[in-house]
Amino acid sequence: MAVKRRISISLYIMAFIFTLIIFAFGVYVSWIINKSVAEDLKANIDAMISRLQHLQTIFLLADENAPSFCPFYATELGRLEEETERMRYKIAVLEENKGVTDENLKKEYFIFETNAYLLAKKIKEKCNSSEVLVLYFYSNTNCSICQDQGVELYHARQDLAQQGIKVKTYAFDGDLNSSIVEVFKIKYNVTAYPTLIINEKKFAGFLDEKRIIDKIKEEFQ
Amino acid sequence: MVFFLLFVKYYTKMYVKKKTKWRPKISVIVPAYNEEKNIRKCIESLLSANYPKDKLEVIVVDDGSTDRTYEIAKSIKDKRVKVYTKPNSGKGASLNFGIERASGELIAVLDADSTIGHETILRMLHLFEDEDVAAVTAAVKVRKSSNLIKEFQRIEYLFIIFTRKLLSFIDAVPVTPGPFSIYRSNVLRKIGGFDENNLVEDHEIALRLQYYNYKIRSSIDADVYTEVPENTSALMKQRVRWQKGGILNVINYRKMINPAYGDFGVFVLPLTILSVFLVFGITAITIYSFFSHSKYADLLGLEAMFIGVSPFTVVAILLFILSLIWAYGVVRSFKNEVVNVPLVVAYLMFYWFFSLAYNSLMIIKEIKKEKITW
Repeated sequence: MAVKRRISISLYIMAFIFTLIIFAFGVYVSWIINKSVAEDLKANIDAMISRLQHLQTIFLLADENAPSFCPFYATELGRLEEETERMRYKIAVLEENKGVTDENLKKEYFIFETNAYLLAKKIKEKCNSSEVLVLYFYSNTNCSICQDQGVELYHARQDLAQQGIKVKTYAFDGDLNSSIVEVFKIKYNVTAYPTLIINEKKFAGFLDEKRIIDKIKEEFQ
Repeated sequence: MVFFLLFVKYYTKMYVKKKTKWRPKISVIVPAYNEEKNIRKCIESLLSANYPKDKLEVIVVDDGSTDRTYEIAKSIKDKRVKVYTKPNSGKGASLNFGIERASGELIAVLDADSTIGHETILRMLHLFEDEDVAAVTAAVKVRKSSNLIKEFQRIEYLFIIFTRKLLSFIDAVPVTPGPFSIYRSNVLRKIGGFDENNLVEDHEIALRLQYYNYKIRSSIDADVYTEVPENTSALMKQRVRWQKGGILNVINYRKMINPAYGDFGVFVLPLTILSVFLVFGITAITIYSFFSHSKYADLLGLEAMFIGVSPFTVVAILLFILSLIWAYGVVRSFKNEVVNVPLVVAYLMFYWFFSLAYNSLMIIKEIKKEKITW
């Protein structure tokens, strides 16, 4: 009857430390992977920026003959638009699923998006096109419905495209400490999220797919 | 992690083979209920074991079988074998019935569906040299077969032998397995024999031995082969019984969840209860992280999977790989056992889902107040 009971404290401490090391290693590996993913995305944005600049240069050069270049602009902007959208979702997935927020990446992306928006606006005027430009302001910290708003907007855009109505969307994170976003917020008096600016008209609060379509159709007519 | 560190610490003691000249009289109790297929092999394995003839007594207790178990046992003509029959009253009662009639200094319990090896008893004896040791457990194994469910259990049993050996170094063995364990008869009598109303009497007796601070030692090379359920429903029934019985026993002995009981009190016992919560907790986190993905991920399709990786996923993959290496290493340490990596991977995956299933079933049965039987 003589089990000398003892608690192997050192064993549990060691086990805890090793477990911690495994977790730390896991976090480190994911950080390395995510960093390289973010760098890849950044390189993609850089490539998109240079394509946009190229387009901007052509637009400035062809000022006089703008209408004859309109089909060209439409195709190029269309292509860029597709990539912009995918890029936006990629950044969102990286942030929401994988917990990686790279502010610089987002800022760079917003600079690109702003330039794309400005160019699209000018081209729209020059070419007298009927496409609808939508600015979408969201927040990742105090707006649980913003993700749904993003998805509704996506589906609305898809639906409208099938009906021959072209919509270009530009999304901005209102929480981001970016002077560009701040200027936008002041310009359109954005105080709540989500907020949609459809052809310069402000709609604060959540709009479902049907209502977005209705509003855009009103604009389109 | 704790087991790995225990292995590192006690590696040199793990495979020590000692011999003893001590040959006490051993009474082996074989409780049997409807075991006509296995009883002969079981008794014959005892009779052919390397142990002096005059020091071995086999007590077969037929627990009111409705088949030919009793007749077959009775037909074995050997002075060492005593066969009794009694109305059905359960395994615990049958064991106590045997203990009353046993004359050995040591009492062994051998399930009727199990067989011992030629050297099994001798390999366990040296562990009794320490007078404080009240029980020694065997290395209960499953024979290799083509049945996948049995193969998973073969791996599991090897794993259990290994971990039990490690736990014996810190006086924390939680069970003296029913298939074959040897006890000091005076201790067994002193603590009142087996609990006759327990779902897992081999767990309860070990807890009681621990409660009275007796030592339990484990053998890693005293082979005993046992029959295991060969389909999922039978296995499920067995595991629900083990799990519920185990938890009830821990609740009954909750006083031992106490630093005064050393590693047994602060690690092994709490782990029995915690394991249930861990299985559900980790599964819930996995399901949650799977379904709570960004809605934009749906818009991106498959591509979303390759955009970065969450620390949770990396840690989970890392832990799985380490568990795999550990499990494979453990199983491979048994030289006569053939295993391959895919089987160990399948085992790890299967057992996760399986433990989730039997834990859920246990809870459902508990809610429905359904009685769990043998």
